[in-house]
Amino acid sequence: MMKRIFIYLLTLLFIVAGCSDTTSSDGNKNPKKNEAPKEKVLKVAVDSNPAVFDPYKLSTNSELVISQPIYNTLLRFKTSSIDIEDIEGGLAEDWETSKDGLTWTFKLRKGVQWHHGYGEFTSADVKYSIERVMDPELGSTSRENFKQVDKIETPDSYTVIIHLKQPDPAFLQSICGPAIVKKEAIEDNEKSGEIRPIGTGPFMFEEFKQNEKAVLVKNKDYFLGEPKLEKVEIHFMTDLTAIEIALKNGEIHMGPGLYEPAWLEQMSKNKDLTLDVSENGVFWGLYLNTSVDIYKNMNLRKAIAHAIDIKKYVKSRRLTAVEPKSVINSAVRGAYDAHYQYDLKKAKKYLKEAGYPNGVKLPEMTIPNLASFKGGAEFIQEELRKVGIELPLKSVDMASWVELVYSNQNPSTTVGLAAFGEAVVPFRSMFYGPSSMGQPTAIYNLTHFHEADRLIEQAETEIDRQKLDDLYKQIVEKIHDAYVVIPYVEGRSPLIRSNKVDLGYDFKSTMIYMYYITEKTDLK
Amino acid sequence: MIKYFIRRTLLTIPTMFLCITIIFFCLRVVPGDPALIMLGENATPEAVEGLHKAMGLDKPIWEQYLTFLNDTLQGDFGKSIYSEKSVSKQLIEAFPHTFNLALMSIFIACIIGIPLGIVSARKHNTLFDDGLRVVSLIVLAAPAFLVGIFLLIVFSVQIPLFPSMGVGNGFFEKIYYLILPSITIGTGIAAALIRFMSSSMIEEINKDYIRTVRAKGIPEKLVFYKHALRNSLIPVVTVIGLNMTGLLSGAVIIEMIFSRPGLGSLALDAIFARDFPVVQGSLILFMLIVIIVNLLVDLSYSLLNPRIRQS
Amino acid sequence: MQTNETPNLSTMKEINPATNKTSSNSFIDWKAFRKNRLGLVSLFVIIFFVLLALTAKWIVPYDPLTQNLLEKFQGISKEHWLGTDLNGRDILSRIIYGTRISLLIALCTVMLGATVGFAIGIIAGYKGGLLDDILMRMMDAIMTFPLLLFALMLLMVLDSGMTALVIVISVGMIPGSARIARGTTLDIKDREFVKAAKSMGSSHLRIVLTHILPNIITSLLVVATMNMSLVIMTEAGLSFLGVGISPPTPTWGNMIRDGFTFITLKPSLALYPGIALTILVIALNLLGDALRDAVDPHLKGQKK
Repeated sequence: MMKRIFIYLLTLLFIVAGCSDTTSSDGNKNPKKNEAPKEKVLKVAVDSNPAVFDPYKLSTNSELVISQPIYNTLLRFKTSSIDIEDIEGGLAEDWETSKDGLTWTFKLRKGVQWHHGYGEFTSADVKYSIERVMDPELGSTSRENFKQVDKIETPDSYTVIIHLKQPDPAFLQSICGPAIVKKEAIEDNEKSGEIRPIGTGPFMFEEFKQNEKAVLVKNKDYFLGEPKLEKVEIHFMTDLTAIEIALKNGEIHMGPGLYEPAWLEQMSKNKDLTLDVSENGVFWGLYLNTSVDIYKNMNLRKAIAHAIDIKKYVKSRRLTAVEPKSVINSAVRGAYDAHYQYDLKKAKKYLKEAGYPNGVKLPEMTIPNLASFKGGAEFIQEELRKVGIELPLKSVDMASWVELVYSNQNPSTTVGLAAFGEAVVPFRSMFYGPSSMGQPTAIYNLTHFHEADRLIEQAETEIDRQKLDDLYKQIVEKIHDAYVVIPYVEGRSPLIRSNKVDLGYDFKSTMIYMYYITEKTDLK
Repeated sequence: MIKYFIRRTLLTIPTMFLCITIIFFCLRVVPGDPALIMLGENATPEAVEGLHKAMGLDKPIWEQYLTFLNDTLQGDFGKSIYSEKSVSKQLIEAFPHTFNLALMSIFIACIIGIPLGIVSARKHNTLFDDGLRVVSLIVLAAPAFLVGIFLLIVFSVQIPLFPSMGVGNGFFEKIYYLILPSITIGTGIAAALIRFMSSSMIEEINKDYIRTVRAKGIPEKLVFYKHALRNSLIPVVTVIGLNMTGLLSGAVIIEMIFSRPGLGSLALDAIFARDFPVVQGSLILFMLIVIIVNLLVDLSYSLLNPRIRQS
Repeated sequence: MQTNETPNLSTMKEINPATNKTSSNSFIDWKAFRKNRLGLVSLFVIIFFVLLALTAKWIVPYDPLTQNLLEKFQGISKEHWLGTDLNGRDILSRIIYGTRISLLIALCTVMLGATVGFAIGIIAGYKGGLLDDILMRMMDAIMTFPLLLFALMLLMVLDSGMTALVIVISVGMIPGSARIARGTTLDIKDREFVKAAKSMGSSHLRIVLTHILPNIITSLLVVATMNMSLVIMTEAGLSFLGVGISPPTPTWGNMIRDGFTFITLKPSLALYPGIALTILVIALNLLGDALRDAVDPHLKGQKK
């Protein structure tokens, strides 16, 4: 009898499993992975989960990757470029600027349609979108880039005129930032509580499954031509080893790579995979907070700067790193040369002059528990140990770290900065007094450096190239002489893709830590 | 019998109540202002205050607690801080994935554990038994994430038999996608099952009534296997009961390694993002599952073995 | 960790000091213990690990923290017996130092959990009534906690140092110890000699100290041994999820986590500390089994 009960129980088990299956599956059976898929579905792996789908609140990598093919911007960089010279029309066909740099006129493309029947794209959408970015209530991170905007006019459906209060050398690149959104779509999303991003890009949002994937389908009526791919699936895989295995198995077509050279070498030997390294670097520096007593000591800062053998670290990272050139990203216009010499004797001399002949224990440095932070921080810790400077490390989750930094409680930190275009933008956020941490207007001034405030203010409204470059030179010098940031590496993001993928453009660099997906991207 | 059922069921109420209370107060102690997280770092103080009011965070803690209790009893866990999606909806979406994983793991544990447990009892005190014991201990002791990743490397990369990620569509594909992850969890449970099976059977076999049966001249093998199967359900139920919290915790790591959606990845993600309502909801659901499973285990004990009811 | 709950819970079910006829029986029967081969072997393994931990400072071939970035990912060699890790640190030295930290964490956690648990159990058993009900229901509630998730959540926001780790994990150890202590207390409380002591005017404290506590000490040994393996595995699980002890401190969990990322490149990075961990956990489990058998007269001479 018991035997029967047992078998009965097991059958029941499977019936239940089957029932719960039907509730979550939509019934369509996809072809198995070994058979050639009939549809061209590009599968992308990202190592984080998306939380927000509003293009103005994006924070994680996966959100950027999902949004990129959905939305368009007014102007844009040519795909995979970060050179200001490469800016071209996006939703605007043409643009011009007045001599004084105060009036910008954009001529829009005609006949562009919003996804899912939201009507034709017009100048009202542009006005709504830019005003939305500027709305302090929304708290967009790009709000600062539009602080010079005075008013936006829309004389007709296909013309937008933006008036600035003061000339802005970085305005052209700023306008490449915000995705153009549809007012009605945003309001509908707010009302229903559903996630359904609506844009004008080559791919339309289809569905989102928590902790699993987001699916995009092609926009047949895309104004630059019908996309070659049928679908794009973005899979959320928080474990990097899992991504690696899926890439090797061909279950995923593109994904992020690890910064470890030996690992990359092994991957590049795989015949089915291609390794790409983004040209634009993430600028990593050790930022010393000068509002903390111990770091007010200039000689101590000097000792730290001279004690770190940057060349050794860069060498160990091989193709994913280059030596930092300046106090900000080398891709930035205005990154003039500035280096600190590795010199143990000097370091020890300064340490003595700082009043610590027998070494010193620095306050604990907190970093997020991510490999990208850990590697550099542990290297710095070890280098400093050699001259008798002890730097205790603590790693916490990203959210706690952000909170610590914003409340100005981290005496020092390493951080990676991605920047391109005019140097005034990173200068303003990283080295401008009023943006110091712990203040209501905090942006990123981790070091409380304010000696270049006047120069940065000048550069913000300077549109004469020669004068602007002179200002940049002086700012770089000031930052360098203050020893507040010790650059240690300019990392280059490695990306891995299957050989089946035809990107449709030459890969140079990426700002979303993933390949761009365009209408020309294809699968062989 | 029915009296016992009712009494045992009622006993879970204070436990549930205590659990919910502990979760509430634990999360209030956690630093990190949810309003600040929602609005971002550039939020104005007025906006933060407004949101506090909207979320009820400005009220005294006991009032917040009562509201929370009330909402929880109605199955309303609030909205996610980031996506603003209803937490209950997210939990309902994630639950089937973890449920399937748990079922399949238990199934695999039974397939491996029951026969080996019987054999282990049969060959009690032999070299084979010793060997089995050591092997099951190794499986019990090896960290699940290492076991999981090695299974992946061997059976997905080296020998491409199974997929390494996702959940699949349709009934059979779903089972196919479940095989590797549930073997990872299932072997651990099987190891525990073997030990329980063999020890409970040895105990039974030495009891008087078996000797009586034997004395009647019925072949020993027949007695053994008939008896073994009849009593195999008790160890299975015991092990499932004891391993439920472990099984669910295991799901956290296994879902991450095999890139599967589910309660584990939902909770893990929410914890890292400080999405308090989601953390709260998933922790409560986790505990609810454990409490209910324990209740079912106790009830089925009393069905399987009437002697337990008296104690 | 799916499996790590088992040894803990099975202990609770199987050790039942209340079945002992007299208090003297609850002490360990060393003769029985010596007959248990597996138990003896695991005792030696544990002693070996303890010695490693105690003498780590003098026996490691390299400083476990010294990086040599140009020598990373090396295989087995004369200089580095187990190779080097992703920062060019000597793996063997790190494993030896890791033993020290893993054992220290395990010991502190188990002791803290057992002390609190025993106190609760004794109070509940001795006082009885409503207090007993409330305390035991609380223990039930704690038992349903998904320990890993809870620890993860608390450690993320607390200091991710050793103290926090020990306190958080020890909470998970409380219910088991409390139940055992309560069982023993309930049993002994009504014995003749306790009643006699009471009638002679002994204080409650005195009764607890002289009669109840000695009976629980042996159970403590068994529970502690079993729970230590649980703690070691939980630490590894937490490190895997990224909230263990901060770098560069070498713990087995940290080492496995660091190596895990490169598992297809250099499986040994995660494997060696994983093997060390597995051996210690098995040894602790077997020793726990052996001790339990030696304590419990019902199971004496019987292998499980």
